[in-house]
Amino acid sequence: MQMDKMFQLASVLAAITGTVIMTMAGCAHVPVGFSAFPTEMNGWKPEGPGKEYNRDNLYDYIDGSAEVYRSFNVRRVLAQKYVKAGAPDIIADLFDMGSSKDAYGAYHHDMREGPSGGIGVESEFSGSTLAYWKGSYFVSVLAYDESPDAKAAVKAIGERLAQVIHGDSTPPPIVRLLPEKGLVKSHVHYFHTHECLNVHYFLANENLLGLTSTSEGVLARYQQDGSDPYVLIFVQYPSDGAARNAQDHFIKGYMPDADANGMVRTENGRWTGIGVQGVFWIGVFDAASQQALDRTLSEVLRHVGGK
Amino acid sequence: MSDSLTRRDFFRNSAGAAILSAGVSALAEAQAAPEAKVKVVLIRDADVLNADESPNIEVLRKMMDEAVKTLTGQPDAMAGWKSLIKPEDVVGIKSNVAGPPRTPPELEEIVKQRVLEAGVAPDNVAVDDRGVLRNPVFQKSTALINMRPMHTHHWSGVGSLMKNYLMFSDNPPSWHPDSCANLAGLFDLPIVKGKTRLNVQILLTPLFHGKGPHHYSKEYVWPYKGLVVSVDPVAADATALRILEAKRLAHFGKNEPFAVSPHHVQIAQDKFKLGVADPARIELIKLGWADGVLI
Repeated sequence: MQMDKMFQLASVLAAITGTVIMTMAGCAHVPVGFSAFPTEMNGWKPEGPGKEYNRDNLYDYIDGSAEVYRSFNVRRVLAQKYVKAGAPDIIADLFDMGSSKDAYGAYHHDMREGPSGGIGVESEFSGSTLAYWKGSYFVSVLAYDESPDAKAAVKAIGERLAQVIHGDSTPPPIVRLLPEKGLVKSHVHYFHTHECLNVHYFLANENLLGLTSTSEGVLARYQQDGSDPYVLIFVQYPSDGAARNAQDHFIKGYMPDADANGMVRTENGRWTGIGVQGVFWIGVFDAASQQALDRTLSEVLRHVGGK
Repeated sequence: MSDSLTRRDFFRNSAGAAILSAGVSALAEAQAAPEAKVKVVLIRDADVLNADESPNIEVLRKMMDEAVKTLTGQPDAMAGWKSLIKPEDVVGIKSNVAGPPRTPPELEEIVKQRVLEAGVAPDNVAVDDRGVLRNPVFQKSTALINMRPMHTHHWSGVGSLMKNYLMFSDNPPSWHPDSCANLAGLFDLPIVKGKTRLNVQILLTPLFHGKGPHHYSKEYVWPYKGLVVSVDPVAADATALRILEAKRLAHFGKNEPFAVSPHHVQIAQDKFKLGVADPARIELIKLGWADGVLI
């Protein structure tokens, strides 16, 4: 209990410090350390000292999953395991993504169909697994088995961490370009790289859109009025010319049989259409009909042009 | 086939299209293929899990024996094992400890025991996962038994039998690009090539959906209580994939594509010719508990 009070004091001091730093630095990135992790929660205690990883040794901790967070420019990860006799282990991970855009990206890499936990900017709390993003941090807390106690502890640990996270919490601007109508909010995925895009929607093994680690794109699924779902992809390029070049390259590699309007009926019987609006490349995939594709693509191009 | 593959190439192959959009099951019966079919045994037992979800070793042993007997077409299980493994073999049993779920130690013990009973010298059999490249038995192995638990995977779509051989590479991250599309190439590594005698996809408590850095949530685990066994790793993976797809359809109430496309299974067939992914070319033999079999 004494440690708990010390933590609360530390949290208040951290919050004050964070506020001062934010004021001085204009909502700059505020580092969080292991002192943010509670030293006890509902009987769960740290198994030992927490472990810190960086983008180069993250494989040692989460193996293939490291690719996801590396693609979002992860800077460091603080990992703490909690144990309690006769209860499932709890793993709390704090991912410092370096920017709120990439914290958003790390959180939205996964399908987010579960209920909110009311923590951070956006959160999901389902079963005994909590995930959220806030500031430039993505946070994951999970228990390896389900029980009411474990679930309560998971949420409480997440809340403690959220108390000491400060700084700008702005989603990537490109996400705001997505039309609201029909948007399936559980399937909005921000990405930088070709590999990350392919994870969500395999287009080609070649990097037909010329994506790099500094590219920005968003993929979203749409379904309107019970109609067949379709996929919308935006990519932002540094210039209008770069967007047009990407368009040309994509047509050659993916849809050389496209009509003059950049539309083609693909082998699954659906329709794909692409277009460019300024620095944005836009692709609509799996539209149910040519009419539906034409309507959707026109609406999206107008929508982006008006932003 | 060239190295260039697009989504549209997958759609030109109906089974590949199904892997991208889910719903392999719906296609399975619609296809007619002239080639000989690859045998896959799916065996389940309602009593294989104890109350704490640990395996009941006796039930698991019976399942494994029955699967081998059926797969090999031998009159009894031991004859089946002996048709797969010879006394002079040096046998590496490739496990997987990366769970949860991991390869159950009980299954490791069962298979090791059967290999010994097939006449292999104790010094010539080993179970390993992350240490295979340093393990002298694996280094000089003449036969491999590949067994891992099936679950969705954050970078390859599913934790396939093909992915289980990643530890045979001295540079595992090099296989990660494009959702691990070329995992079948692991079977061309000298330490592996031509050695795999048996593949066991473990679906005792599979994970049908995952998220986050650990790609795990207990709510997406279900007690399927099954094993999928084949000499063809691709056929075993494709069959296990169908089971996960069916479970996802039942859970989500709609065709929810995998968060990560498991296209490496189809690529194993189409590009690497490692085995058969097309359900129409797989002879699926279902044994045991039928409730909730899903496929």
